[in-house]
Amino acid sequence: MTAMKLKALLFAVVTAVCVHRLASVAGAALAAPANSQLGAQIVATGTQKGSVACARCHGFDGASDGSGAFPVLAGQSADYLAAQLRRFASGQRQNALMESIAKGLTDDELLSVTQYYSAARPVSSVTRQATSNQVTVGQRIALVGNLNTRVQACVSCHGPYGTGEPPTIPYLSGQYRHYIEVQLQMFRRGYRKSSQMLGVGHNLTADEAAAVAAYFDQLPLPSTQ
Amino acid sequence: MSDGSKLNSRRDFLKSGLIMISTAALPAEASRPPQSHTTPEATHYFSEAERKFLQSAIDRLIPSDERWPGALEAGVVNYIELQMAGPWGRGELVYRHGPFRKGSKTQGYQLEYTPGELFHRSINAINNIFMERGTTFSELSAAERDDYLTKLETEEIDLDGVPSNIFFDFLWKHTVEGFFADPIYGGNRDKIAWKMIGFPGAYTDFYDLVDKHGVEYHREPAGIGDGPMHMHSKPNQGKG
Amino acid sequence: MPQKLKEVDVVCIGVGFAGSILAKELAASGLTVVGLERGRERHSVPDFQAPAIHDELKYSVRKAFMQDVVREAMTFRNHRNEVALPMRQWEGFLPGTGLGGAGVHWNGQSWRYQATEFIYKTHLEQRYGRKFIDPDLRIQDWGVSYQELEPYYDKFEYLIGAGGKAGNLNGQIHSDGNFFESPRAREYPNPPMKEQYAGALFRKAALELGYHPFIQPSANMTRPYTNPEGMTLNPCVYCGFCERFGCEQFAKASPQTVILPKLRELSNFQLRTEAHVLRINLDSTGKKATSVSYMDAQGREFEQPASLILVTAFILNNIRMLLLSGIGRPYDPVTEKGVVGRNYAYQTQSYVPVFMGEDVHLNSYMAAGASGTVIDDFSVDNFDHGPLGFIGGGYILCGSTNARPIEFHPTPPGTPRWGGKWKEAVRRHYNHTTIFNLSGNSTSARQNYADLDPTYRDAWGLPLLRITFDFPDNDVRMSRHVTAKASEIARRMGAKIVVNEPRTKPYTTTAYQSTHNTGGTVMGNDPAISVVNRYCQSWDVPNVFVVGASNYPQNSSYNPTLTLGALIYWTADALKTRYLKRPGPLA
Repeated sequence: MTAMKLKALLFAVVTAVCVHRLASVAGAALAAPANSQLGAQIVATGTQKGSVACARCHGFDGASDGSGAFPVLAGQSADYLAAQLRRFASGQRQNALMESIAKGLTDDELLSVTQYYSAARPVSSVTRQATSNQVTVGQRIALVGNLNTRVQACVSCHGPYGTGEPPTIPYLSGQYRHYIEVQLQMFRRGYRKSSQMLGVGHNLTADEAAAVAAYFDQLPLPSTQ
Repeated sequence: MSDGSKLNSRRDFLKSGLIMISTAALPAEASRPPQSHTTPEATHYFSEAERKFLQSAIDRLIPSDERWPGALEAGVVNYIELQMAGPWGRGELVYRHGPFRKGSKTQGYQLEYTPGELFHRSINAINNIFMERGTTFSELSAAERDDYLTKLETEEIDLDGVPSNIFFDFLWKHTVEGFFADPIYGGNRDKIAWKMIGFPGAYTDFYDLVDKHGVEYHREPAGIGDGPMHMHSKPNQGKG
Repeated sequence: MPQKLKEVDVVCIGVGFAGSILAKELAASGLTVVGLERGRERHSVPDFQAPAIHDELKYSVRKAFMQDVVREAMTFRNHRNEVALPMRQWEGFLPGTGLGGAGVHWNGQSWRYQATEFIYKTHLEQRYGRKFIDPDLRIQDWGVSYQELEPYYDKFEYLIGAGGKAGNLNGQIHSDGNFFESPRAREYPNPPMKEQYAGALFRKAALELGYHPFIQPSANMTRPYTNPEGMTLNPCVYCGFCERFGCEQFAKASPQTVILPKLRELSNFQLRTEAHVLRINLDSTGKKATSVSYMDAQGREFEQPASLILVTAFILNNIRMLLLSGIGRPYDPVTEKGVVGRNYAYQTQSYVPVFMGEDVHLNSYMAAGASGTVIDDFSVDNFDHGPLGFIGGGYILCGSTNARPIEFHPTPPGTPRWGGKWKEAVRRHYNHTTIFNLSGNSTSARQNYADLDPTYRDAWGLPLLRITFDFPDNDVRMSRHVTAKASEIARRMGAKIVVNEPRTKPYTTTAYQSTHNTGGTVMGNDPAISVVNRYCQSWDVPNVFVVGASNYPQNSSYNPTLTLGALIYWTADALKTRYLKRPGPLA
């Protein structure tokens, strides 16, 4: 069985399990304070006010659909995820789709979904392939930086092997390369505002951005404590 | 190809158990889930008798208690052995030209001994003192060891050319170093000293947190050895 | 036989801030410039990258970036009647080495001196009378005024992207800046640093006591910044590994981040590293420098002829270079004749450990080299000294630069020095303790000076620099007064335990205080008591200029680097607009 088919099968199994569990709590009060169960509910079925279910794009396990259009959320620091949702809501981080979703969440709902995804584990752990040359180049920049383009080592902020510095700095290891590349573009162009990433976004060449993205993409995901 | 290698207790990488796409083409370091660099274990710089003294002494300098391990468990003796076996212990980081004269308190260390020689002389002198009494320092009770260490600290007993107060200061300095330094140097095992005080270690980006006043910040400390060793790093030396 | 090289226009001895900037200014105006740096090349990548750079043992305890004491130490004694002995390891102060010099591993604390300090002698005598000043002190005017230096302070601040808030903008006082500063023409290029928790608590207490707290000015970038040289820096991340370390983020202003790459693009500049300068050679008249002799890493000797020689090797090495080269008459503390080595001074630091309650989580390890909240109310002559019987003062700074545990693990008085109770006290107090840093004037005195040691030599067989120094009584009295004021603020902060620790004699080299050594090649208008004139030009050898804190007649309350930056650009201007047009004495 190919990896893709296996993953789809597992996804279906997990979905079934999750739906079953949710069905048993469907009658519970929806105005519960922040918690993973409320989070699971919102992830599966959205909010009362009409926010779309997170799982539609991000998956139940936080591993998204594999395309790289949506980031892996599983195991990300809950505080970091919450900060991002707030930035989507305020427009500080520009994303039309996420802005309306984030705006529609109450504080408790926001904290619940972030708790949920922070604790989530991807169903399958399939490390992804990349061309050897890109990974070598990317690894060097990630671990040592580049003097010519004046880029510091990614790990200096993003943690050992890019596993993050919670609560404020996200992991990169196991993140989709396409997603990383796009975010670097967002930082470069100011659609995503960060004093810390501005220089990096500007200084990394397109090839370098692709290389670091490829390096982190093929590393395993970290998990939470 | 097995992927079952775990990182360390902090980063519990998932066992795939399912499918692992062959990554044979990639450089080994990049593709494998990373190994934490194990704490270096000392070469046998000290004799058994010297080591025993050190263990018994540092066990009192920073003892363990119900909550927190002490210098012994943290591997401080291991740290000291590694340091003495390296350039620091050999005196390669110190100006060693004579003439050697006793100076004032403000003029600093003026003995002609390298750190390694200082340890050897002092510890062997102490061991000899106890041998003449028919016992060893290690056989003393904790309170007796504390008393003797205080004696070394406050008096100037001649330890084969080394005044005991200078030896004590030296021992204490190295104990503190070994307790709190990055674990790549052989002490601070499992970052136990950092965990005790809440020091974050070597990964320290606090741009977003420095002005969040009063936040109780708890994060597993991360050391230099938790990532791949920096390509240009030499743990002991690095004169520019 | 030393190899004689082709003559160049300019040689810079030492390529730190002074050497880099002067080399750039002169090479850019068309001169051929050689920069001789005794240390190695090092760069932000790979040499300063994290996590490897965040190694307290290697860089802070074993002093990896500092001058190789094995090959070249210094000797020290408190008084002339003692025998000076080598500082066999660096502890008390830390001279650096390597490309970029101390600019790589400084903290970035960026202070202007006050206008009155450049005419300190005149000012103090006017205000308090000559008799008010202790007879052993040797206070001198600089020969250059603050007003003359103001545009050059500005230039250096914009080069390094200094972050702060103007307190005096052309005479208009702004309360969020330094109330006491002398007027500046422009706002800082970058906003102030973020305030740490301890600093915020200090600010509140200081305000309640009627003082004027503000955020310390900083050369750790507070936002992305492109300087006039076209160099871009990133914001500081408050990593807590600033002094003694290089910066992985391209955030600390250093020659590497603000100017060196641009300098190295110039084809008429040549950098030679591992070039150990032995002396400056003079012609038979002794009034003209002809060349510089140096040895490379292989031990081969070279002679580099040059028309103009700039001594930019750091205060201590500057003094020694002149002594070894026979430029200027060495100072004799008995007769008070001679000038080279005269007016050596330091910084009168003191500390106030402040133990807060265990519910106050200070997180002091979240720190930049120049973070901190400070009051200037007790610096220099900002208060009336008449009833107090001393001159000078110090700023009171609350803000950690780090909480690295090998060297920072404070315990309250009465805690045993080691053992179980010590360990428990360390654990209890680590994240709830801050230590105020008081930085005080260091007044030059007749008995404090530098010269060549008669006994101890370096690896090249040349005599080591000998430092004879103790705190003058005046500075001890000053420290007692200012430290007590600081302790008052700490008590007002609600501290559980405050430890009042003023500076006392004797000065010791066994514990670190500061690397703000100053003096030894003092500048001024009177050649009887100065080594260089107001343009930093040697009175004795007009084609030698000395540009370093060795030119300071006495040290201020404030850190010396920014003032050096101003002097660097001031000298560059003097060279370009005066000296090069007509070489010869400028004063």
